[in-house]
Amino acid sequence: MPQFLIVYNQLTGEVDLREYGDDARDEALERRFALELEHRLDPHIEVVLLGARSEAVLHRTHARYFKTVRELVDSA
Amino acid sequence: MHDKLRRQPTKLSRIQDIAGVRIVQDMDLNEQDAIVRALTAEFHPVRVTDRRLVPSFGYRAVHVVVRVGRCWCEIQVRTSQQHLWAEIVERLADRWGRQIRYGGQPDDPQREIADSTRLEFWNAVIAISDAVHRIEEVAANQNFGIDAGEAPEGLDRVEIDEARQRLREVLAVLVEFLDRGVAL
Repeated sequence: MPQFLIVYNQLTGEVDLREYGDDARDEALERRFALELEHRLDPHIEVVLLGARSEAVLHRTHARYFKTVRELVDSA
Repeated sequence: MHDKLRRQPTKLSRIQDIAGVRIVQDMDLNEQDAIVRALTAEFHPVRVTDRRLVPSFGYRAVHVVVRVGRCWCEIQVRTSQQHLWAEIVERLADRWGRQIRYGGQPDDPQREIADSTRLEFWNAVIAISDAVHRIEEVAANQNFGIDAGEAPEGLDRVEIDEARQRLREVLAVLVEFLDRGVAL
């Protein structure tokens, strides 16, 4: 299953996403730890590593990273 | 994780969602129960927390915590409606303070937005959770999907219509705020 490394700014909604193949899980995890260290002093930056069948699935299960409140309501 | 340890001081080994899985499905409450039963049959040990009847500050879902090797893993089972509410709240919490997910007031609660306040807006969002649950309960009891068209003959149309009307009202409150240009 592909891995998606996300760096999300809670205040601006800005999201940086990078996809890793199933064979690069260790690399993704190492990068995650490095990014967590890099952003450790900023409480509004989230670094998460999520596995999903596709990026489209991720947009559904973790819509908050990709949509505004307005867009979420409109999708109801 | 850092926030969680600060909020609930405990041993790292006791935290249940270091690893997690989220299941989101267009389904009714009966189907949600069936997924939970299947999970509890598959894993041992397992702990189930049902937050549908007694929500956690509006948050509704069923969490199944299973032991995989030496780790606890939290499996969140959400209907589409429960999930939508949770995602809206997460997004709001980014801007108004993460504490709103645990019963706290929004930062600067009396700050005006249009002719209302953040706190009033937040109360409207909580009301949406209750309305969604009412609709899901009715749909499950009637074995009648909430996205379906007309209720079958003989079922309690009035109750379904009332629940749907309530949801429309509370969603309308939310959209009204957004239409006034409230930046969220």
